[in-house]
Amino acid sequence: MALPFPYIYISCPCSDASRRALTSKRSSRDVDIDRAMQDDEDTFDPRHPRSAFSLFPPEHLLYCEECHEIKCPRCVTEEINATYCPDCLFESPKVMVRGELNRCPRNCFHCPICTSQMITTSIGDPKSGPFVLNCNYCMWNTLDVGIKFDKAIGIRGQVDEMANGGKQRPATLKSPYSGQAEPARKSSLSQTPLSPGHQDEAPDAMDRSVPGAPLDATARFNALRAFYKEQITDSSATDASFPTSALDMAYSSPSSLQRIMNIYTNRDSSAKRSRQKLTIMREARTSSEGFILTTESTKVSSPSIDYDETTTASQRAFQHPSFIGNPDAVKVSELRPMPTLMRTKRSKRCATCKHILTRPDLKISSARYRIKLIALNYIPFVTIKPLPVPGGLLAPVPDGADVVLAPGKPVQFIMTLRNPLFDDASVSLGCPSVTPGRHGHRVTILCPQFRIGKNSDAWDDALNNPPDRGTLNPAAGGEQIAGKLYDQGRNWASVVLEIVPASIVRQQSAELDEDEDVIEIPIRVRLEWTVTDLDAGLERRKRDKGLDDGEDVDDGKRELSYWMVVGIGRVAC
Amino acid sequence: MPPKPAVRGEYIETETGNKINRKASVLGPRHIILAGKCVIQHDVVIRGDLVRPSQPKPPTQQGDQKSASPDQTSIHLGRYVFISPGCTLHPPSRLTTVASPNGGEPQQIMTYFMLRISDYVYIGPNTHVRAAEIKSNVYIGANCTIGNMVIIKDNVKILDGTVLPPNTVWAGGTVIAGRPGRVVGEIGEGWAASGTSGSTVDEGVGIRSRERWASVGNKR
Ligand SMILES: [Zn+2]
Ligand SMILES: [Zn+2]
Ligand SMILES: [Zn+2]
Ligand SMILES: [Zn+2]
Repeated sequence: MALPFPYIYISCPCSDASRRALTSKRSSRDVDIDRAMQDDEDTFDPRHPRSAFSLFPPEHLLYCEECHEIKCPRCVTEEINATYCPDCLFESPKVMVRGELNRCPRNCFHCPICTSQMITTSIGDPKSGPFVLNCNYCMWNTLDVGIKFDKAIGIRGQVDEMANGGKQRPATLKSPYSGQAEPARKSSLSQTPLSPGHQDEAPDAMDRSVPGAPLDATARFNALRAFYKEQITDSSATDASFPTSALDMAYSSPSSLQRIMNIYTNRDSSAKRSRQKLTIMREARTSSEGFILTTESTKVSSPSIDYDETTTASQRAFQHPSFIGNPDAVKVSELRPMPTLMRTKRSKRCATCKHILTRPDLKISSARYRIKLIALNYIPFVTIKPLPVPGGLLAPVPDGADVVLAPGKPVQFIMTLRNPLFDDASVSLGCPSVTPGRHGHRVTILCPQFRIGKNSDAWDDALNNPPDRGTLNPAAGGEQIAGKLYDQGRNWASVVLEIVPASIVRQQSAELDEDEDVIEIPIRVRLEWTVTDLDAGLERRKRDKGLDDGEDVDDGKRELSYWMVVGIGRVAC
Repeated sequence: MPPKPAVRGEYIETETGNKINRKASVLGPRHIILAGKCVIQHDVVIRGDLVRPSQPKPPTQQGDQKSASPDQTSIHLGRYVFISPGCTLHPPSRLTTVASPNGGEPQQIMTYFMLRISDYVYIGPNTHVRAAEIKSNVYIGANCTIGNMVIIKDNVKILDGTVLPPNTVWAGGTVIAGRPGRVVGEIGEGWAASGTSGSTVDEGVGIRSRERWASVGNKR
């Protein structure tokens, strides 16, 4: 791991196999397995290939007050609250975003060469232009591909016009939720093949493209999209289980997923149906439908191009055909700037109980949250530093450093836990005496069970006397007695962690695996506390759920346990 | 690298908790505002002397110059701003058109604007900053270049060696890396303020601002 030492990761309990078995339906055989699991609760192995998927930095974890559980990004669902452009920080209304193809409708573009943000600059008079888009990183500008703008605002609209063959982008595109939007488009490129308008508008499309390549990439994309959308609409009319507009489906919405799942679960019947459908659906076969013969396109590109002039794979991937972009660009001069992709503000819900865990302020300029239940407000904040002994390890700088430990030599660290709760909490720390994995480093926590005081409003004393500064009596410094805390404050406690690194013998031929020399210690943290200020919360919950007193008796007792992984340093070898 | 053991009086410590290394060169100090608990380490160069000269006619399109004495401040640092060794803080500049005093043709002159850094900002070693605005809870790694007139919003982590080209705007809540800088990830909700007053896990937890501030200073 590339993180500086010491680092802390927390494993979300959702990946805990024993917990999963408890919540799912069980047969009597499963109960036996559960019992076996509880008997020797498996030590969390940070090196297990699966572990990487459950370990998170503490600031990424949330806490659900309903389930009394830590929630990682995998156990929450997300909802989009607002969509905005990250470059100009303007919000786009929800109904507009799809029509704008999820890209900034104003003036924001990114460089096709280096992906940096482009800046509108004047190449004539500062006020009246003409204007170009300029990349301040690689100094590419749109003049390199012969694009100039008359106005400094509404660049996207001007580019859309160029992409659309000098016409304004059809307004109907802006109403994405109307099913009729696509056939009603004015552009010849998206007309259905046999519609009356087809004949007289097709030459228009031919005019602006190179002979031999009837449509450019953007036009072909639009044509293909319109064609297949049509095909799906036609064929799904006879098939009730198939969504009417598969292309427009929001894959994140639960109802769409439900429908997709239905397709899989009713496999027998849908297999029959899909066979039917194959006879109905056909592939694009005329150039106005977006069809192109590959031999044709290769003929267009000239056989010998300077290597420096060719595009890279990532540059081509950056070009999106739905717009002016040209994903088949062979030469750099065929690349076009792309409008900035929009970003979203999202709120998160607990996937189990659907309670809201975070909700951002809807204003784009605001970084605040209206609701934010982060795990760090419930679980202790852990800091680790070496025990200050003469000749020992140097105190780490806040960003840590590469810590190298000598094999076989015991080293002590001070682990400080700070309680963010407004109630006293009892903590028990469990850790294997020998770390799992190929190199068993011996670990001892000198005081595994203790209480930490509640966090009160008077936090200034803790800040003015942070534990690092040492409120510690110097006489007690360096003395470690089993079962006793190293140091203690109003809402924090420090324990000593002793490590005897195992030596890693390296054969000359054998290379060490990456980070094999890193010492990672799994520690099981168990917290217990009683919520004293329960009344307010309980009242609210009752109101929300409309529960009788009998049903939800909350005694305020809370329990939380999770695996924490401490990366302490490397073994010298 | 662990910090060298501090010799007595290595830092100038002000009443508001600012710690300024004596080996930092702070030019034009009367144009610089430190809100408190700022740390400025050795070999830092702060160009407070590059200040916009007082002008009789205020420029027309500068909406961001609303402070009481816009002409007097060139660099503003909020609380808990940490400037690592070898950094440069340079006010941003732009060509502005001004009417010639003797009634001739309008001229384009280079004008300096204010570099405004909000609270809980960490700037790593040897990073060059010429931004217009850096909001709160921003971590900037080592050896970065923050170009002229760049705007960085709240809750951003910029990894080591990143280059942010001039005039770019960076929305909040992201991790940025590369040359040129690109958004490579999102930061967690726990990065910044917790919302609960009185929590020890206060603002600046992602930056570890309080810890950083406490870790430097003169030996007592
Ligand atoms: Zn989880
Ligand atoms: Zn934009
Ligand atoms: Zn570029
Ligand atoms: Zn829940």
